Amino acid sequence: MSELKDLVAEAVSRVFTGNVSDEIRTGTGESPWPAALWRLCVEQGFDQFLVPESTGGGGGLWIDAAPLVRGCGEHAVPLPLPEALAARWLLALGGLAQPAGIVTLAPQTLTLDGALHVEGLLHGVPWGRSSDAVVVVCAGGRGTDLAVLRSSALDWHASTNLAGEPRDDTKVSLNVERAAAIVVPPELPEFLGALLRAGQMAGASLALLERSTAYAHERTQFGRKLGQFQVIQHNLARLATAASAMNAAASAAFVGAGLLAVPGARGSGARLAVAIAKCRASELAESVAAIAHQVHGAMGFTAEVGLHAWTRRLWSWRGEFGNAAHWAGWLGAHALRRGPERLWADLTDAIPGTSGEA
Amino acid sequence: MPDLLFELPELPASARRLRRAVRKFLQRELSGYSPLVRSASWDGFDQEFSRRLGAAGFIGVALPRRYGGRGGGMLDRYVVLEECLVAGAPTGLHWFADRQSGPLLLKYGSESQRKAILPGICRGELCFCIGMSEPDAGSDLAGLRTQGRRVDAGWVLNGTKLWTTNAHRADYMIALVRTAPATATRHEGFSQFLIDLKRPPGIQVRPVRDLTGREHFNEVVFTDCLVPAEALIGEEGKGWNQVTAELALERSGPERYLSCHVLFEQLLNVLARSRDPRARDGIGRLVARLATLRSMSLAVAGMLDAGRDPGLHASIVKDLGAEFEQALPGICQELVPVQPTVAPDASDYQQVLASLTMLSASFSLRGGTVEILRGIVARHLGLR
Repeated sequence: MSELKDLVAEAVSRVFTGNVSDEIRTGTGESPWPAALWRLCVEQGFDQFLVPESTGGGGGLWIDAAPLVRGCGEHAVPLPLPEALAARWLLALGGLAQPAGIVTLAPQTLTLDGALHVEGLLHGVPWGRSSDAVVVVCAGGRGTDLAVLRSSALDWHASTNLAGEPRDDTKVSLNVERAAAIVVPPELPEFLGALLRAGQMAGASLALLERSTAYAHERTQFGRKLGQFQVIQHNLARLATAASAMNAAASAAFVGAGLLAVPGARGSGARLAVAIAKCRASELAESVAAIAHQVHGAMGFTAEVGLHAWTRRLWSWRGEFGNAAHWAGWLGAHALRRGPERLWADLTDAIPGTSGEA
Repeated sequence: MPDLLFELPELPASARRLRRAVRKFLQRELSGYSPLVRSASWDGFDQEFSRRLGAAGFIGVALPRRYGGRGGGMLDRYVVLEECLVAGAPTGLHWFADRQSGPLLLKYGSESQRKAILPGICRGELCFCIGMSEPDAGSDLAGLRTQGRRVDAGWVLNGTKLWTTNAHRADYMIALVRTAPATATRHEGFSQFLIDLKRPPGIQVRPVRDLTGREHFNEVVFTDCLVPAEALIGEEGKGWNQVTAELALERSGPERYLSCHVLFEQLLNVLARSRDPRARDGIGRLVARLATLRSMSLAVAGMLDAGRDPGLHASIVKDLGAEFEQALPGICQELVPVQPTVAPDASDYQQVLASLTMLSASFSLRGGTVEILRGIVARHLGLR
């Protein structure tokens, strides 16, 4: 496998282990921006990882970025780092300059007219209020374009998801200086977001497995360790199985993600893999969170123990960028349209995919 | 914490070429086979088909050329397997032989055993059955009681094997037998034997009818059955290690989630023109599960290809795969309001649904119950 991917995994572990406190992880919308942690990430080049080296980035492919996105979920990192990765990757594709600071991704498309006027509603923008810039895919009569909005020019209505992560709304009606005409599927932001959340959820499930197993080793009742009871063993095995499924599906999606921006048949395999990963992750989030809480008993239900940093994220992320039903509908329509033989051919073409260009 | 990333291997160009070749072969060879026949999949026993598949070089893909195999890797083999399963090819005659018996002989057998057996496996001519379970030893395999006693002419076997699929028509059995008392641990004192079932004195095979009405598995009684010394596979007393490796192979393939694929194919055909959003939703969730299991299974194949022990990961995939296979008939009944029936004038869909609904009770039992598999996972988590 890729050497770069292994280096990234090491760096992620080094940066996040011990630097993401319980307090940071379980923060709310009112919590201060974790500036020191963000600085560490920027110093490591995490946010620019998918930007080509020629323009000052890390030159990585999406497959190499998988440990970074997974790590954000595993450590419950309250930063728009996955969003920055995706947004800056898009900017590089569009040949637009990389803004300094915190760049986030707009979940919805807006309209852009010939006078470079951008119009529309953005809902649930991750860390909109803390960002310096928002990267938007615009769709309209002109085809698709990429635009960058200065966050300071926007009125943010602050909101959070269940895990206290900022998901802000704003009404956009302004002119931009530049837009890049770029031929991408208009649903690209949705697929990118789904890819990120699938990876983050896979990471979060590993953290929950590790914590739950550790707890089962420590806690004693009826004169035995909790982990010695067969029902606990089987529930943890089910948790491990669910986490495995999430990780396998996310892994498949990250391999081919470079082609997500390509419309038509060439990118369809990448989109298929993302739909599969997000559908599965969203479905499995329920049992992963439930088993983790069940094993931890009442202690895990407290604010202090901090298990909720991960479970509230799972409960939030399963619905972001499309819930299971959304992606099931997409997959089902594809399958019924293609029929069994061509569906199988589509799957074998898509997975394992080839690492597309970053 | 064990590594549960299930990262996908890259498929070599040889595997991609093989996929195209076997797909073409199967399209041609199976065009006359009904969905019901194909739905039996790797349970389907077809002497002619196995020979044709072997002649085309699609059996023993990962066995060495010098024994008649293709000399490919585990990923090449994987691709051929999944295409066969998806097409509903009747691979039952050679399935066990190719999956575990051949590889066992390759790894632990003598050169003369390999020379005598492997070419026939690769030609699709040899059928193997697995002599492990007994009436009193299913999940608790170490509790088995069939004994082998050393005599001048070889070994004398006494005992009973049960649930032995295809024993009534197999050429060989590889049997796990106790040849010495257990001393320090229950896992000591086992040996494996290659038993020629065509020379039966002392072997009685009695079919057992299952709830589908089929007689695929059997009770096999050994009464003072003499097997030659050369029937011993590998080292005497090391049978437990050997069988553990064999079980990892038994549990590691794509048949652990593709047993019902022909039903899925029929479901898609039946719903092709449906405008019911529930149909889209139901199918979509099945696609997500199927594709995810495939990714997991591919990851296991990648581990085998890299020479890593797939015991934990294969157990995880088999558990989840059995759950998926067992859920499919019920989901079908929810999405399409027709009854399963074996009546010959019923639709293909109804007959396939009937057959696989009834067979589905066995998916979480055969090849290792899900309870055992979860125990294996728990052990790797350090809990037992």
